[in-house]
Amino acid sequence: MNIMAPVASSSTLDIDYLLCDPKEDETFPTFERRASSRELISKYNDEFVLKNTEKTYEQQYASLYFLRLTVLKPRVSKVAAEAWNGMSILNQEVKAVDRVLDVRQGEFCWIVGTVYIEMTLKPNILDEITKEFWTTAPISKDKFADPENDAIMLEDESGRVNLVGSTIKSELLVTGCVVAVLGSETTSGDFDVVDIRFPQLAPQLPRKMSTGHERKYVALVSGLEVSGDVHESYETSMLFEYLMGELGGSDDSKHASEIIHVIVAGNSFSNRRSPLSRDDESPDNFQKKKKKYGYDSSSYNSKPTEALDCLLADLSASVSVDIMPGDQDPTNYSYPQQPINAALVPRSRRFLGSSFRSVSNPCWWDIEGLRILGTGGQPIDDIFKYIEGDDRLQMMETCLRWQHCAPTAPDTLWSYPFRDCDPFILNETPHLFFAGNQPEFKTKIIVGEDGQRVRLVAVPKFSETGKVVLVDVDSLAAEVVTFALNGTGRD
Amino acid sequence: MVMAPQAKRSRSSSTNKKPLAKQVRLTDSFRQKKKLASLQSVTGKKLQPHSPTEVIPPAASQTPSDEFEESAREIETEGEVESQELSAAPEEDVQKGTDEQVVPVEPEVEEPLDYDDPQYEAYFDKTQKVNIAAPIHQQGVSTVVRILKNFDLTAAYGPTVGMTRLQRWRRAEKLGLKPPEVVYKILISKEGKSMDELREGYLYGQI
Repeated sequence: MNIMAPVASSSTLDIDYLLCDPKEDETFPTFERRASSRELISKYNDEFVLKNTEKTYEQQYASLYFLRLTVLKPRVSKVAAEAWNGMSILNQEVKAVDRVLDVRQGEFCWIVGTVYIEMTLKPNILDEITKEFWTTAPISKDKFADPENDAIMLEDESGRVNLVGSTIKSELLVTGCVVAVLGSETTSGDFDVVDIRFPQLAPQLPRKMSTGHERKYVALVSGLEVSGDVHESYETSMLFEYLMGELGGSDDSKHASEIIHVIVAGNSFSNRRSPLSRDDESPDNFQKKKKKYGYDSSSYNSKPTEALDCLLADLSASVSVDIMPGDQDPTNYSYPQQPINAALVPRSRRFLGSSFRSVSNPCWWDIEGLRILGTGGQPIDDIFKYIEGDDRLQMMETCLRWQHCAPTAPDTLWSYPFRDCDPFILNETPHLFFAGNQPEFKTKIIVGEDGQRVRLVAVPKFSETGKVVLVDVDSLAAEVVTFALNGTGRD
Repeated sequence: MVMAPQAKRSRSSSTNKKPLAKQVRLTDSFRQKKKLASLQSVTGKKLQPHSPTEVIPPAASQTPSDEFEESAREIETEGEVESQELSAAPEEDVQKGTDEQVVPVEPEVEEPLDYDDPQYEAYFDKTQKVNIAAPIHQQGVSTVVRILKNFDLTAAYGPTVGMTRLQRWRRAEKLGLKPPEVVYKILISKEGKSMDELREGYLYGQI
């Protein structure tokens, strides 16, 4: 895409240059985006996108847990064996026990299983049914963790055992992760934990470093919440102009031309009601409204979709775009979310196959050798609800160390009952792992035991913060570009 | 270890080879001696014996009595190990695990199921060695059905609800759990694919 820019630098402009006749032989430097390879890793993505002919709901969720344990158990066992084999506690050699129920009292041994945390504050449908009278409506809480009363258990095919001890209390665990624990059985039948091991980071493919001097960026933005009405934030149009290279001076255009791919990660559609329908709710109109059975199509607001479509179509003409659904987008609610149907964005659909693509949530990319795993943020938000801290990056890092990107599925994160494979298990560690729709921008690099390096990025909601994250493909550096109107108070 | 290249072979091949690494030697010997003869007469195809791979030791050409002795020894050791567990996977004698998961290709022509094949009886008796008592209410039930129900109840291969037995078998195969070859042969036969009693799990219609 060619972007025009004045010859003079953006800092000082000659006054005669501005107020003169156009010169005939004047040339302007143009910036072009270089062609780049950006593919979806089909061996992982094919498992996220469910074909309608193969989707059945006859199986139960036990299959998903069985698959998770069967695949992750050998990996954890290997890490645990390396750490604990040959170790002796109190002159007793520790040994591996195959089944959780086979632990014997007084023996130090290690077991592998899925963690299950019995939470007292977690909303439980059975509690609501057994209550005879409604006292007060339940207060909606942000977090359901109650460290004093929550019981942590380890479960495998044979049964469950209660885990106690100070080691286990200080560890970040959620229901659904597979771990190995070392300890012994107490007199009350609980398992006193001395040490705990995770599968740790999966192997990572080496990155092919490009030889050119140009920098390449991947732009990550989430939570656009395009509404299409007159209250549309100006920052959204600024963002799209910037990505197309039309905003700012030549330096900004040059910087924008280095963006080779844009990923719109979730919640692009706003779910605000149109102002028209709000008027209809006044008492006088309410009486007059005819009683309509079925779906009242007049309440559908098409403005968000049309506005987003226009923006994406313009952007697709300039740079390749991938749109990933979030929890408020018009696709299925359960995880993994299916790609947004391109019929919703007819103008952008013309670019389908070249620069526009609708992907599933979560999704794996391979952009110029950089392997990216991205989610719309739902697994991290779900983990946030069931643990004490609020360090999102730590949750993302722990997901990579558990080798599972959505451990709370299907317990609290709605999921499809997979029967043949658990697609959230990470067989490979990506180079970049991002989660969209997070409250604020955070990033760090984590290092694994075998030298894996992963850049973690928590992409903030654009509608609240006005930030878009640019990640350098070669150096893994992450920078953020903020769009704000003067006086709105955003930093 | 080189597996018989099952998955890569085209479907139009007329040979009837199955992946060997997952078998018990008992079945192998029977296949070589009995099945060949019976199948040849039924289908009229010329069948070749299995080419022994590195997995099966030179004892592949043993006489049946030796086979029984060996499998008897196998059963005894199995009995000790599994006396506590009722539904662990029966330990097939495999020298080496294989890293690549070769999903067996089904033959084009579905063979009819031979309900009275003595290998089924022998296999079922082997699996019942770990049980304390004989199965109840199973007097009039054929061995094939009993074998399949035992396969359903084996917890090592995962939950049974909501899928056919063949799907469950293939899932166990893909995960490297080495499900029994005998069960696979029953499930790909003509009756095994058409009859609900054989194709679906024992909870079909109830859950």
